[in-house]
Amino acid sequence: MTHDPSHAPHDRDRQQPGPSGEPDALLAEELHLGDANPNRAADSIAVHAMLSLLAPGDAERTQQRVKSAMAAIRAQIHERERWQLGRWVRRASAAAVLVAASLAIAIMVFQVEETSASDTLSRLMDKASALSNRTYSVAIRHNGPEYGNEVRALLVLGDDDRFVFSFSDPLQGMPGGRGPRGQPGQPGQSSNFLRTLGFDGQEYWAELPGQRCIRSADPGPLRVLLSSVSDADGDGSAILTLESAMDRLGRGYDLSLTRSTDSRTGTALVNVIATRRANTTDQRRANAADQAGGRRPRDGAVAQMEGDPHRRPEEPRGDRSMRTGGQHRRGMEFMDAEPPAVVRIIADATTFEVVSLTSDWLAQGGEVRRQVELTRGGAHAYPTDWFTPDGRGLQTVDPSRWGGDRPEAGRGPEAGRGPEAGRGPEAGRGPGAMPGMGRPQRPATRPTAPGT
Amino acid sequence: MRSEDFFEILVRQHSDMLTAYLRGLAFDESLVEDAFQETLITAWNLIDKFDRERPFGPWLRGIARNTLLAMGRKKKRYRHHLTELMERRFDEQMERMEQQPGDTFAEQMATLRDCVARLGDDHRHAVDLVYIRGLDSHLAAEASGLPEETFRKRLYRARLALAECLRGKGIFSEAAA
Repeated sequence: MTHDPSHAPHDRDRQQPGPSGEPDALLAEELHLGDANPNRAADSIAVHAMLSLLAPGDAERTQQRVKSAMAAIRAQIHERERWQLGRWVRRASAAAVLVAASLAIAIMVFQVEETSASDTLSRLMDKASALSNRTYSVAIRHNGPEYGNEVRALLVLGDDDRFVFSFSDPLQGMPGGRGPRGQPGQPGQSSNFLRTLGFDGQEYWAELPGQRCIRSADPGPLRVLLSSVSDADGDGSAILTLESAMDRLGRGYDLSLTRSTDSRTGTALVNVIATRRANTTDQRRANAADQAGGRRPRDGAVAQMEGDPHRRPEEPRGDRSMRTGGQHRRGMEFMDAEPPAVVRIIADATTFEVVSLTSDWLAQGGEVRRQVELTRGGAHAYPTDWFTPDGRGLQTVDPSRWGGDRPEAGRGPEAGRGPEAGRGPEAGRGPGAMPGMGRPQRPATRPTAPGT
Repeated sequence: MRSEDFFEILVRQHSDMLTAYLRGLAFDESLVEDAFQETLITAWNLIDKFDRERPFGPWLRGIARNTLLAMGRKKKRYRHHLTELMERRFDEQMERMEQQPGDTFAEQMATLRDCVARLGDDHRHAVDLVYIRGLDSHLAAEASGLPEETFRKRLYRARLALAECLRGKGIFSEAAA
């Protein structure tokens, strides 16, 4: 006799029909039989497995399992791509950070005293902030056993803050170029890395492999890309080195301002040279800054930059937690966090437009081991569409998949703007003016110009 | 189409087979869930090693089996229920199912449904209580008005009858002599 199952004491909370509860008990006979007749037992278990698929909703649950697994797989893929992208962004941003660092020095001079030197620099900044439709070439050079290459990039400034920062593959762009760790360059290797960062007047964007891009109203995604790899790769210490340089700039540079003439063209030039003070730790510099006042800088004289730049009254937007450490400080123990030893800015004395900017890191023996050089190029007006990812046929990827909406994101709209960042009054905020430089989010504005 | 999209298509074609396979080896549904996801992720990470000249199903089952074994070693969640001979035979039947005409493993289920329909009332009722209504053996026995052990034996005989039916229809292979 059988009972109507509708009267059975069903487990009403059961979510999944199908065999459940005591699977061992359900298959006890088969398991008991196994040794005597394994084929028969196995066939019965196979039937059990097949019957389990007949349960209502089981097919949907299986598809849901596939969906979950594929989501995990895609997340894994994106994480991998993000890591690769981060490597590229980090490299491409190095020059930009340097520019901001240099401009920060100049602005600090301006803010110490009203002098003819600072006035000159002020004009220089004003000019830089108004720049558009200008091209700059960027060269990053490494010397040493681990590196022996030159990385080149091109920065194009458009109207209304638009820019495109294109990175030339260091392994392909240079004849006989060598990759990191001295490995020979591999043709085609560049396809794994994104090449271009930009701002189209509304959004920042970064090109990914496969004609894709991420875009965002704030540079958070790009910044996250930087931070996500900061601890993972000793090879990529450059960006953190530069950031730490920014962190220290206000604590100990000697600055000089001189005038000269271009022997070739006869153009009058102004030269700003910032030399990092030697033999002082950051703490000692900071202490000295607290105890001593800045000396009045004069044309041709050294300006001792002292005092905490973080106290500058016009710096309400600075994100000190980022600049003074924050998550980027985590990575510093892995690297030499030396700021550039010397930064040189040459500008046209008449137009106050920056002609070139060079930053040097020196080895112990005094030779240049890393150099970033920014050189003014030609003037050319590109169409607006040229600055947009759509105009380049790039397919947009959801930025949140790249971690772009994290609250600490947004070290500043200049992140990713490349070497032109740091123009105008924002330039003085130095650390926040460039990718990974600890500036809070705000709507996209004119990039601060680094005398570029 | 990206490679992971191709992979997903392949996986969806084999998802029922993989579910059945895991349920045949691991009788715990939560373990099946975890092993399913782990198997697919491992398969994706090893996809470059997959010989495309060979069928995907056996390769996926091999990964699933290794996944279960690894879970058994690490978390002791999986324990061997089947003897080696039983496992071999079980895998053989899964493979045989895949070789049948039809696009997916699920389509082979039509034959099973036909076999269920041919069962006697008692056997069909037992299958219905457990596999369609989702009752455990205790509740199903109660619903059938039978002692639990008697119900389990009835269900066992029903499965044997279904296996015989599937052999008769060529879905299962004959037992080796």
